[in-house]
Amino acid sequence: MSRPGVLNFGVLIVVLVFFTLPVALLVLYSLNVRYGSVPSLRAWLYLAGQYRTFGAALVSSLAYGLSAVALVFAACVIPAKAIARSSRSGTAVLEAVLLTPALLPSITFAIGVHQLFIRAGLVDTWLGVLLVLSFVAYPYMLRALIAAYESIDPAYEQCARNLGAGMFQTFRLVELPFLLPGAAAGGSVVFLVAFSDYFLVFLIGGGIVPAYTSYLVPFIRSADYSIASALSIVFLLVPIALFVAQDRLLTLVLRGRGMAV
Amino acid sequence: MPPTYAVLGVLSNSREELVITIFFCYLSTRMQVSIQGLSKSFGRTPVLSDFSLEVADGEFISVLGPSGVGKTTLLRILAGLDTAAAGVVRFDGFAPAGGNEAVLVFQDYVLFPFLTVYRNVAFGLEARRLSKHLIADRVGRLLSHFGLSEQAGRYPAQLSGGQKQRVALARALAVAPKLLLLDEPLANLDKNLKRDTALYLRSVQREFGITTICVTHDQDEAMAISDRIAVMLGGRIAQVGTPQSVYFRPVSPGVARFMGPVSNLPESQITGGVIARADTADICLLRPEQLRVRKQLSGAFQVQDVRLLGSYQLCVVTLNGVRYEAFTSQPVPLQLGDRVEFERVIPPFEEEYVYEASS
Repeated sequence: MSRPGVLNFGVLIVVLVFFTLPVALLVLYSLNVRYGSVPSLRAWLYLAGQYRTFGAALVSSLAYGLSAVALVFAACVIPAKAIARSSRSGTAVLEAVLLTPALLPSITFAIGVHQLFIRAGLVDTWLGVLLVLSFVAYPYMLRALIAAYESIDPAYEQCARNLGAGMFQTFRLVELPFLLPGAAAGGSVVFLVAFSDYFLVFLIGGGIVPAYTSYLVPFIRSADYSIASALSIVFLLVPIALFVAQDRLLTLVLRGRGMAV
Repeated sequence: MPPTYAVLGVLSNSREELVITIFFCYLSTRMQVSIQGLSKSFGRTPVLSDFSLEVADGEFISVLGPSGVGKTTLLRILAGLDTAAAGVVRFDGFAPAGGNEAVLVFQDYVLFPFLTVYRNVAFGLEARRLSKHLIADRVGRLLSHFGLSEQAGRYPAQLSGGQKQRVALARALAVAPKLLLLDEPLANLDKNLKRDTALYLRSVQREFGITTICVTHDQDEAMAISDRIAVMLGGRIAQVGTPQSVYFRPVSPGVARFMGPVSNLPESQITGGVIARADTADICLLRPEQLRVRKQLSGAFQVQDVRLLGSYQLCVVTLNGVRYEAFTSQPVPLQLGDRVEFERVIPPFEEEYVYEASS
């Protein structure tokens, strides 16, 4: 093996160890494999027994996570296009304003939103949780879609318009396929931010909106590492499964159409 | 019967089809275009200044000029994709209605990469919400007319350059525009394909009988496809005329040089007339077809260099220490130091062009 080959291989091993070691530890903990303990399936059996509350929390988190992706995508398309197509310096300011949610500490911002949502009657509702998460995750999708729009030749839109197409037909048939890879990248981050959020969901959902993180945290605080580890493994598997599904879907949709996937 | 009938055919299986077919045939009648005093600048750089042009019904006119003289901007304004700072465009005497009376075929075709050839051609018809079977019928006819039936299910990335261009043309003609705008239609094709495509474009334009404005920077291309050529130099039209008249009867040395190789030789040393006078007195401009070189011991010119440049020969000569370049279409074996004389020949077809130009 050549020298760069060895180097690459070494880096790969380090990265693999870095990522797999915590997961391996989680698996061992969930099976109660520890010094002085007897390995058992107790944690997994407990979760199986609690499948109703556990499942409800998981489904609720999945629902607001995926809804946030859809909502944020819909809310980002027009501003992203406007920013990507404009060369004026004013849009840089607009872009900076739209990106601020990612820069603010969520606690600072949550206090204000909390007050606002109490007045609007959105506190303790599923919609409130969806809105606050969408707001926080907005910049990640915006950034991705701006980059995607910048890569689309404006001639496509002009050609579609010249052929008599309306905005919606142009978007659906011409622009959307170009946006998909960018939207997938942005959507992954949006989903992760929403799905893994604890503080905002707790604050706005008030413990009434079921959430996987709200279910998980008490177990982490308790001394029962086995159940917390089992829950964490499930927590990890959900996004991985979604990423794989998303990747397959994108390849299926875009394959053979002159687009590198 | 308008030519479009012949290509797209008339189907009257249902009332809807009949009405729509009549509608499209009405739309596809040809159009006269009048452009007056069009101006446009980007920032402080003027790209079009006081551009005027009249285009007749069913005419194929090329706007020919070097890069950066605002040719594409002109097409974009006519297609409704850009606005002019000043000037008026009239389609059949009326201001453009905002529909797609004028459809632009982009230089790099701009086929939608995620749609099949079929869906690309159907795009403009889908925008008009025509029924599925009507779209299928019309697109099917166009694809077979352009020899693309077998490629109907392919994506643009899987097509050759020539096929892409035919798809772009079919897509534009599917919506039966009154005016077809072509932006450098042959620029992306290799040299051998260019000539065939030029003739093909011309035959398609004749068949559909559609008024066409083409912009190009390629003189051969313009001459091969156009009824008339508008030569654009410095943001303005320098001359409008048939390919023969702008080539053989240029109105200025600038047009003469832009349209092809010209020899500048002292008139007093040449027998015969001139096609255009250069700024300097006694210098005349002649096309290779109008000039013959002959080896002659008593010749006034002395050969300094001889090159064969494809279809013509370049002969660098001196007379009293002054250097001249002479292009002739009939190559003659010459050697350095030979003495030569030049004779002006009148091509047998030239009188015809003189007549056209003066009329």
